[in-house]
Amino acid sequence: MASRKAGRISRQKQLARFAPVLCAFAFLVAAPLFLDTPIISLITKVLCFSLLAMSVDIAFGYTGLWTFGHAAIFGVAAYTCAILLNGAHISSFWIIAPIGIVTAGVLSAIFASIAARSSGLYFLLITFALGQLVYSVAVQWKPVTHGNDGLWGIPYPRIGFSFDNVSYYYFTLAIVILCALLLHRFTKSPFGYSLVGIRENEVRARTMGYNTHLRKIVGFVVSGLFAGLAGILYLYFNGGIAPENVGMAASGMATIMVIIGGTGTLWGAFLGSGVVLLLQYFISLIAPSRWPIFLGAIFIATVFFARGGIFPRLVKLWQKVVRYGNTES
Amino acid sequence: MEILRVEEIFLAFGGLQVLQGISFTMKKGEKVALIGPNGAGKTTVLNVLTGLIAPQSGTINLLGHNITHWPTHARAPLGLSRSFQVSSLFPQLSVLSNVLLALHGIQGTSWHMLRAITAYRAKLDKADELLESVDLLSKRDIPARSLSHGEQRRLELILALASNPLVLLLDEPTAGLTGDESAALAEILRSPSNKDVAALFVAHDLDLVFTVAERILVLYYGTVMAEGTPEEIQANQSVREIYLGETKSA
Amino acid sequence: MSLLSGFSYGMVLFLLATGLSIVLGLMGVVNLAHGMLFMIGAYAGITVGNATGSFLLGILAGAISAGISGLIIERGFLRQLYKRELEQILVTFGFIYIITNLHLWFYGPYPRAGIVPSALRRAITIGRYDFSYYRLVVILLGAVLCAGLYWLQERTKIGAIIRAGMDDPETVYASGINLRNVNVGAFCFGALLAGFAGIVGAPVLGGVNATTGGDVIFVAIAVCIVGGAGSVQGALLGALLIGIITSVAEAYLPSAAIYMMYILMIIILVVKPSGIVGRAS
Repeated sequence: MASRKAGRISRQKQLARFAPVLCAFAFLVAAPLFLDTPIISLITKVLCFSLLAMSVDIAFGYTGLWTFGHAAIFGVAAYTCAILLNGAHISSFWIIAPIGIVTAGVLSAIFASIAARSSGLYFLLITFALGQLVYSVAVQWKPVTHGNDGLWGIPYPRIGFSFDNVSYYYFTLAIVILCALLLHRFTKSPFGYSLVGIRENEVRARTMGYNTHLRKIVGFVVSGLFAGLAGILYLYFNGGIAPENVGMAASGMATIMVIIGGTGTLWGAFLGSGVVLLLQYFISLIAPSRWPIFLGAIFIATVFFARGGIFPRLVKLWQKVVRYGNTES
Repeated sequence: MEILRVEEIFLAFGGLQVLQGISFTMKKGEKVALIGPNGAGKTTVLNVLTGLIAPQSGTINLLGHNITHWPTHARAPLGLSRSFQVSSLFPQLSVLSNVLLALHGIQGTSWHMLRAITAYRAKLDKADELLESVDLLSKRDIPARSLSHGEQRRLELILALASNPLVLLLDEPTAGLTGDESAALAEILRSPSNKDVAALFVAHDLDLVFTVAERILVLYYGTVMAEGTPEEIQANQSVREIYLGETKSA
Repeated sequence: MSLLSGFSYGMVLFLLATGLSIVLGLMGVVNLAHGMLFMIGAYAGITVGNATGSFLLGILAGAISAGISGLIIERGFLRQLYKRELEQILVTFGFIYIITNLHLWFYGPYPRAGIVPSALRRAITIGRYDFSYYRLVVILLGAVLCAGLYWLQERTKIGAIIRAGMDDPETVYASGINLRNVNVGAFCFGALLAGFAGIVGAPVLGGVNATTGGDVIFVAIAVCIVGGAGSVQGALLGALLIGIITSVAEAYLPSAAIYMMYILMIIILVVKPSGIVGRAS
């Protein structure tokens, strides 16, 4: 029988490994008790974008597709729901949210079908152009989308429970954590691994029997579904949606969140979105119109100083701490 | 029992005629070596068989199916598998993950999205078995790119064997391996567990060729210039000329 | 009439995109900040030109400031990212944010009109249409420069080196030519051209504002994609095609105009990614 280092990790060690995660979770759950409303709103926003960033990571970090139009997918779901709410006066969350998600899925399928034969830079340019087309529609189709003004006046979702700032925060937290766990399982599944295989060596994957073209599309659609959900959560949080959430600046920001946090790690995307949005918040307090300079500097600094992202470094750091703690005892 | 039939494959790149009327057959379990000078088109033959390049004319019949224009991924479930001359692994994934991907490739389980890839016990056991057979079990969790060259070639081989192929295409399987490692690889090919696997292997390593091959195809500038048992080929004058530069004795 | 604007707009795009195209084809470097150079040139040129009353000084100022900025970006940042396309994209994207915001800060949000020398502020009338002198001069200038650049590309040693460098850099290095320096030189020359395009092209674009840099880079990319990166003729073809189609669309189908460029880009990317006259790599 093959000797397998199955690793009967002791309860203690297991706990130690996950301690930071548990602390973060506890913090998030308890946050409204000791943080002010604006900070809770900020964290809600971070949660929405972290879901977007995680979805980008699936396409970008795991599958290796340089997507630059994810904000369009995020936005399409939001716009669809806003239009259904304001225009068609359908107010049931359980009807419009799935429709929004499906719309996002359809758009991702379209994007991927057009772009999947290309890779790298060309994939980026195609998804960018497609994203810009969607942005143009948002700006131009004034009767439906109200152009640059956007669609506003969106109340909290009606699910037989009247939300406020704090309860919506918990709602978002619950959904995002659930999605994060689902996505995590996805990345550990045979399909998820096949996406990484495609990224690492597409030709080999094909000779092993993987229909790489189809899988890229399916993977992209999975990513798009979650991006759409993120858009819907954001719509309700924000009370509205505007073209600026759909364009290349937003797509670029989602991508940088993933890269800062660490591509292909999923949790890195979570971290990255937190870092970027928190920085944006605090810098905007001091120098509101100068934020883009800092954002640009962040882009550049990440490339030169944080290749591989923050999350893997934190993991290594924590592993060192745990090992040190173990040797002590 | 014939399982592979290749007929009149013609392939040109630009103005260069690379394959000119390649034809051969393979029987179940047969071990065939494909030899020839560099540039003769040996790897190209494998590329055409796996569908990475489309021929201009000719047919490939695998188990009665005309797979000539089938996409690469569609050929694997029929039992076609291939290893590459330059190790073609998934570098950042662990050795185990590499093998698991190979095992799931032609299975429906490859579409599962919610169950961990390591939760499929039968596949996990099979993976360990394969790793053990090439002495890589201890390197299970190391990223494939961290392996030594010889270890990578061994991994390369079991990735091709993982799917229990009926037709195994090997491109220079022993390139860069030591004498011992090559012999070990030859043993794997000749082992009874692989007796039903038809193998077509491209090789420059004549030791490997004469130990394992039951039949030899000699490729010379895009045509099968000679075909026969190892003894016949060794005795073949034209083959000796191109390989050993011998001229006809006066 | 819109054909004329299209042509002159196309010429401006040509001047802007040539630098980007050559750098992309030669060094494989994706410089999203190229559009910034256009804007830097435009603003510097307009400021100096207005201050000194001399259009020519403005042109000089525009070209040189763009050239220097390009040099800084290349030497300071891009040279370390050779072959790392994603990082090039990120870094130059970062520059877009920074430079755009800096311009907003120093020059304010209001658009600036380009400078048109008094001698050219007239129009000639042919039939029913008035043709602006300035636009005609821009077309002429573009054509002359195009011819000059093409001659450089095809008939000079430096052009041959650059073309060889695109196909087979190793052999060029092996022949003892310092391709690195040639590349940097090409990059800066492209930057100069972009700055020149900025100051000369500002009136054609109807003025510049802080977002011009960001807007114009994607048109330049579209030009490189459609025409094919790495050659003067590719840049010209792409630029004229996009310039004319966009202008005509704006005149007759304004709501569709904004989509035209992107749709064209997507079609080319899917059908022939190397561009209309590009060599398939």
